[in-house]
Parts: sequence; C-alpha cells; structure tokens
Amino acid sequence: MKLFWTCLLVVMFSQFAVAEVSLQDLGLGDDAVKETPQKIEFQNTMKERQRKLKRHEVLGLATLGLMAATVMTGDQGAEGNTHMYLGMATGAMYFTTAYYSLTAPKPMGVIDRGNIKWHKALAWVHFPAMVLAPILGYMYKQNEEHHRKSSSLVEQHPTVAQIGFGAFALSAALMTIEF
Amino acid sequence: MKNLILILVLFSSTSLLAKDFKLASAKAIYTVKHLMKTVKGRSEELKGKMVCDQKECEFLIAVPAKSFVSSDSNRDLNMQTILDVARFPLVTAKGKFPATELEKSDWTLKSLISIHGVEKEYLVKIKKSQMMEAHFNLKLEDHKIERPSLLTFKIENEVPMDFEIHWAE
Repeated sequence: MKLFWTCLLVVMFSQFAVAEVSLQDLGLGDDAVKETPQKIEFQNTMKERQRKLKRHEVLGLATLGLMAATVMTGDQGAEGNTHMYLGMATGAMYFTTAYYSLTAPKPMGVIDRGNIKWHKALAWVHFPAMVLAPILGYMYKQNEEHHRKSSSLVEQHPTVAQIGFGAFALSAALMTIEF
Repeated sequence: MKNLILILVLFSSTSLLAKDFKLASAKAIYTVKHLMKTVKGRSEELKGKMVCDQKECEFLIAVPAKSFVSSDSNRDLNMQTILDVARFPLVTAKGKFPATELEKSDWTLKSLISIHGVEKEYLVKIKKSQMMEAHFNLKLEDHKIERPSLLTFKIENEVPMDFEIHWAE
C-alpha cells in the first residue's frame, strides 16, 4: 500500500516536472538582458542622434520650401532684393540643417544601407551647389548693377542653383517615399 | 532497491511523455504603415523552445530587438532607439495551449508578448502547414512605444507581426 501511494505521488509529481521554459533554456543568460554602462551609453548616444536627426528633418523640409521660393523668384533677381533675401535665408537654413546631420552621432560599425546611402551621396551634389550658387549670384547681381558683362561661369548661377535644388529635393524624397 | 528502481522507471517513463521542441529555423516580420509608405523589417535570429506533455504545450520564443533589419539602416537605428534596446533587448512571446491543438491546421492561442518592457496578452492566429505561421497585430501604444513620425504624420499604431516557425524535436 505504501508503495502504491509512493508510486502515485511520483506519477503526480512527474506531471509537474515539466518546468516553465525560461530564457536560460534558450541559451540567453543574464548577459543578454542585463543593463551595462556600455549599453546605457549606446542608448544615450542613440537618443542624441534621434534628437538631432529630427531637427535635421524639420529644418530640411523648411529649407526645401525656401529653396523652391528662391528658385521661383530667380527671374526677378536683378530687379529687387526679394530673391537675394530668400537666397540668404535658404543658405542659413541649409547650413543649419547640415549642422544637425553632421553632428548627429552614429554608432560604430553601422554601414549605411538603403535610401540613406543615396540621401548622403546626394550631399556631394547639393553641398557644392549651395556654396557656389550664392557666390555666383552675388557676382551676377554686382555685374548687373554696375552694367558689367558677367563671365560665362557667373551666368551659370541659375543652373548651379537648380542642380542644387533638384539634388536636395531628391534627397528629401528619398527619405519620405519608399522606392 | 526494487522499489527505488520502480519509482525511477515510473518517473522517467512519465517524464519521457514530455516532448521537447526547439526552433530549427524561424523568421519574424513586422510591417509598419505610414501615410507615405509601408515598410517591412525582418529578423531570423529567433530562439525558442516548446515543451509538450500529454495535456498541454508550453512555449517561449525570444528575438533580440536589435536584430530586425529593414531596407534602410537609418530606419533600423531609429527603431532601436524607440524600442530602447539597451534596457529591453529582447522581444519575447510565451504561452500555453492544449496539446490537441497541434493536430489542427488553424487555431488561435493566447500569448503574452513582451516588448519595450511591457507585457500584454494577444490572440495569435496559428496556421500549420509544413511550418507554423503565426500572426497578430502589435499595438505600439499599449507597450508604451512612442510612434515615430515622418512629415508630422505618425506611423499606424497597429503593426502586423508575422512569424514563420519550424520546430524540430
């Protein structure tokens, strides 16, 4: 009788012997879930990066709007100052936008993949254009005011500005639309 | 001595009735919807175990939140920031279901999903063919996940999650 009860207890106990599956069973020990100073530092870096890139996004869109307005008023450049002031505002916004992108920290070992790669590559087109276009614009305006003939390079001011605008717009579209 | 052997035999025979399954291969895919685009991200770094006895099966699946990869590395870094992967590195799903369900081709099970440190119960639809397919709609705000935005529009709160799972004994 004693043996019967023992056996019954063993059978009952064994039904509960299937212990709850734990992370250790998956080979994920404490190291996988434990917070470490390195992990916290990584997270803080990521938050700083996100904060700066959010500003980059908002300012970039505002810059795109100003840039479009500057290009559209290009024909009146020699007559009034609207185009010039819009150009100055665009330049200020553009370089502020660039500042937030260039100073956003990026974790080590991350290789750019996808649209971000093209977004960054297009900066090699719109950045020189955004440096060159205001200089050429200023020279063009000076020549017009003093009734001097502009060189062929200076006359390329609208073309340079349009290339810059096109590259910048495409760069923004790449981050907005999934191609 | 005889009694001890009998007890050991009984114990081991009843324990033998429990079957252990491990994930042979698996995929987890999320689909994020935004006004301007729909984006998918996937991970194949899932780990899981399922233990079945005569009555019920118990499972646990874990996937590192960092392991999800989409078509854009910048988006993946944003996802890691939003999910706070340093504090909550794992996404887990666990639950129990009657062992008889394994014989069906379609069924629904209750599973506790933990993401961003918040655990919530979901009804997961299971479809069994050559592999096991699981689907549920993750609700970001229920897990205190701040929805990212683009052009001031936030992504949809419901994120469809799909799993393809191969269990092996």
